[in-house]
Amino acid sequence: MGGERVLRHHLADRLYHWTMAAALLTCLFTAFLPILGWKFAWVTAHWLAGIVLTAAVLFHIVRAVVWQDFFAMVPGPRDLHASWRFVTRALGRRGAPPQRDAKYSLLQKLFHWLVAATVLAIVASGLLMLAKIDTPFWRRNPYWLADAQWGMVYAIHGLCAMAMITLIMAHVYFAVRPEKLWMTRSMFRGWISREDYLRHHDPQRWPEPDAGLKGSR
Amino acid sequence: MPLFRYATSVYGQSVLVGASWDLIWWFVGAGAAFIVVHAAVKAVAGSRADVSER
Repeated sequence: MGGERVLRHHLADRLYHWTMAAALLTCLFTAFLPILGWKFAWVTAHWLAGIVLTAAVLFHIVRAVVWQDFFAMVPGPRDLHASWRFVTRALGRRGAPPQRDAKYSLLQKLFHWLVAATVLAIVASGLLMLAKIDTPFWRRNPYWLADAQWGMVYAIHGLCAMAMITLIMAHVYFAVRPEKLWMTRSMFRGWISREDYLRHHDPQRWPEPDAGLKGSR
Repeated sequence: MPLFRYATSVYGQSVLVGASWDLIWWFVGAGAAFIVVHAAVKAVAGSRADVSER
């Protein structure tokens, strides 16, 4: 994709993002609305959405490890250096301006790993909890774990699900902030403008996807 | 505020059954507080930048 557009998110990654969003929101609504007083048959929708979420997460892990640049999401010394420059200038001290980011900024990387840890804990505990319900595919077997162990699984599932509410609020807030809309649009249409690419990103650290350059992170 | 929910087993023992759902509003509040503080900081920083550019 040459010219005025620079590819930021492949179609597969956008489909993953929105599938995960739909599955996660379905899980959260079917979990918390009944707790808040909206009574309906929520169990089937909840575990089906959980299965979709699990499949989406597995797809993303395989894709990130095999086909994508996994280390693009790993914080490195340059991220810390750029963040240090940003903080010192924000505090009013003189110094060089922060370097432009690679594909993702340090805060985006840290947020990603925080969400990843939370979602993985939700998925792992949720898969265990499937043993407690009857479905067309399996019979319930609540004797896999002792009562206290089931309590731990339920506590982890519940705490991480509630933490996910906070994380989603922050994610949506940043997505709709005016100065971030150029990035948000790319999760719909896949690309950013060349102007935004050069303004926000260091081409040496995130080479234009079709340019065939090899850059450092 | 309790962090966890407990039930009494058939043996009369207290058994953990999950997280307390009262915490939902703390997590919602934490998200709202983060948004308000961040928006306020950005607004103040933006107005200072405007002044320094004049």
